[in-house]
Amino acid sequence: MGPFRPPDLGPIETSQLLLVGIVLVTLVLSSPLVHGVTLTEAGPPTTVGDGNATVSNVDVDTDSVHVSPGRFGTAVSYVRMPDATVDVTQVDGAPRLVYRFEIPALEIDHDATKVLSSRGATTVRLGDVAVLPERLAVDRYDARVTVRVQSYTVDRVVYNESVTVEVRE
Amino acid sequence: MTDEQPLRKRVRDVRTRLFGALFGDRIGLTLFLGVVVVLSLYWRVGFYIADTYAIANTVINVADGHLDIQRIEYSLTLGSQPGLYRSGSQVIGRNYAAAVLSIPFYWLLEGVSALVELRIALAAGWSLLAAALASQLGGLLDRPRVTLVGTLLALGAFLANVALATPLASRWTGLLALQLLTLVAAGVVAVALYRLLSTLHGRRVGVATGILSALALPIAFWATVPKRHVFSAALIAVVLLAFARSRRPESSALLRASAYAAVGVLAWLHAAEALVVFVVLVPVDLATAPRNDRRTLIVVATVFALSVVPFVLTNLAVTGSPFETPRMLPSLGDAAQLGPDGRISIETATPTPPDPTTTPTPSPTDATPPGPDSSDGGPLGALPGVVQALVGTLAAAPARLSRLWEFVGEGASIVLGDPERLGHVFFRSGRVPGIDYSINQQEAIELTVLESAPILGVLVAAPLLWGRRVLAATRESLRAVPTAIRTNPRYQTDLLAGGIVVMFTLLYLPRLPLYSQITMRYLVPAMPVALYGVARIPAVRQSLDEHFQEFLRAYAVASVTGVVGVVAAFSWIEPALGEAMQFHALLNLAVAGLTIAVVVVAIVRDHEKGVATAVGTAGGAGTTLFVLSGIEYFTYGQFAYPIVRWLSELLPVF
Repeated sequence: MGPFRPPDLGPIETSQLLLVGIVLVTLVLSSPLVHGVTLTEAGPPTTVGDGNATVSNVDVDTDSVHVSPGRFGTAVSYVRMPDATVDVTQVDGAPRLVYRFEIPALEIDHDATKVLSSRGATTVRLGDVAVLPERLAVDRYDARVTVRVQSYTVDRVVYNESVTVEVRE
Repeated sequence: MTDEQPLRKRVRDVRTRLFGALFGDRIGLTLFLGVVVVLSLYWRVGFYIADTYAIANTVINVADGHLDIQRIEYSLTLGSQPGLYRSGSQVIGRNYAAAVLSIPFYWLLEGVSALVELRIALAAGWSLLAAALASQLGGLLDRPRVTLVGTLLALGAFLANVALATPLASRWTGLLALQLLTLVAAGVVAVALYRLLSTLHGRRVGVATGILSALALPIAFWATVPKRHVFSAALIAVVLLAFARSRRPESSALLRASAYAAVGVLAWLHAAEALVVFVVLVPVDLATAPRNDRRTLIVVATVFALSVVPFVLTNLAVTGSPFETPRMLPSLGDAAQLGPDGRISIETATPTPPDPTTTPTPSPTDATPPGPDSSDGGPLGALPGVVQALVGTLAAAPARLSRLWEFVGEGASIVLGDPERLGHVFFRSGRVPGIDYSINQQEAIELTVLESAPILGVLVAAPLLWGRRVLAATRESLRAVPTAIRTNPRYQTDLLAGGIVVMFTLLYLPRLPLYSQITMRYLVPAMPVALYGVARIPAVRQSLDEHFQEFLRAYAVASVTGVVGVVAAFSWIEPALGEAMQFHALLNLAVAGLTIAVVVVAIVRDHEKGVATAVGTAGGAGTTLFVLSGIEYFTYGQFAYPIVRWLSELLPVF
């Protein structure tokens, strides 16, 4: 064993050592054996918890809702659902938005949720719903659109509209 | 000088030989790393198909030290558990080969999750593998910059993953282990195809085929969805590789035997698939082997016998009979009770006798019907002695074989008599009559073989090739055919590959088309073998060899523009899920059509201009589908890597 002599490191070796070093340090810090450091709370919450949110405006383009035939050989009809854009003014904890679309006559009850983590405008997307064409008996269907702020502690309706859904050829 | 140096040399020799056996060479290792790094990007911790619950629970219980299911860690509902079977008062799982081979990964993950945060560990693993890939790639290309940039990207990805990290519960280790095994199997497919084609036609053809096999075939789709198909595909690819390499007179008997060993493991995974491969392998192998002396055959038979030991032992333990597989047992149905602690038990007070006349009904979301041979399972009383069971099985063997032939015969009659059905399996899906779409909310997400693997369309050109050969044939050249087959490993491997593709397809045709296949997943294990056929077409392989750069460029450009273009098109079209999948289907059919046209023109004109570009483009079209379906179209579980979740939320499609 001679005296320690730093090896000549090129940029590649440096980058590799840097990666390995940072990975090791992070892993050690993430260990439950090291108290007081929690790395996995850093990201935004992905599941609903306690909390509340205030909402200033909800925008759903209800005029664009309609039923139209599926394209590209799908051979079904689709209820084309609009997005809901929600202006969130305040968030505490991990509440979520529940955007729900119901057409009772077609037994459609479809919803999408989004856990809130920050203020500002947020969009909740609702996928189109397939309907067998033979189930479409009339030209118009009554539907209800609701948006709720929900958590383990609150459940508040912030948007509630009835909509007429037109069947287009 | 002591004997330290010979020892060190021996260790190095063993390491070199092990490396050679696993990856072939450094290119093989790079390919493996590349496939694992790329395909793990859309790894999701969750259940895409309901009977994965059964397999993941099998992993947990095998890790606990018993083959029967006593504890349900992952549960879809509190009621019935799909995909499980019963044997007396015991609950039995499925896919024991996958479950047992996942155990090393399970232990690794258990150890890791005890020491560090699982989410951070996964991110660390990915970045380290990505840096290793960058290092290998930089070395191979002799471009240090590739290594540097790759390492820095891996570092950036790690930091971003940590910044966005959320907790990942350690209870997921059973499922994660199963997914890791499947991911490794996808890498094995690529390495096997690379080695196979580079043995026959040189490295460039090998690399191109290796890349396409894992990234342009539905292997990419199922790489982290832990169904059995990718594992099957890996084993069958190994069969083909070992067969091809053992056709040379100087190759060892062990190499030849490893083809049989892969079949033995496949039997453990799915007996009917193994039987089909076995009945093709045995005659082709015996007819084309460089020698069939007694010593060689003893080696082959011994290795095969050893390879079926896990299969036989599992069957003995589970069903009491060496060749009765767990899948032949009656379905568990609603017979079991789940305790609050996850303990599962069967009410023994009112034993419901299994009814062999009714096939088990899958629950609505249970996508995998029992294997083709499942309906001949019988009730089991007290465990008979091994000898008695063996005698019984031998007596039942002709019946089993004849059932297999029934399926194959039924498949053949579909090929000959039902072109429409055949078209719905191979060519165009749309909304296929006979498929129960209500399971997937009426969405037309079931694609055909060609729609999900456009590159395989090139096989259409094969008959043209044969036709030209026959037309050009003289009496002498025809007389030379048997000699050519007897002496040329390429033709011999063609024979095996063709046999496997045909038999495998015929086996499953009676069940197809079917719901929850998405990419015709029952046929996925035969797809890399079919890709071998594509690469064997002279115009294709010559073009891949001479215009390798064009191939790579076309593949990369098609993949990137495909993903970007489809996302852009979808933000304008605003498709529903079924429409999105059918859009890909039509796009892939169009690309396949163009590629076939280019290859046909090349064959007719004896000039392979543009073939490499066309093949690369067809590959890119397939990859586009798998990247977008992996990241965007299907919603379930949570992404393993936070940056991919972020990307998925960013994409404005769904």
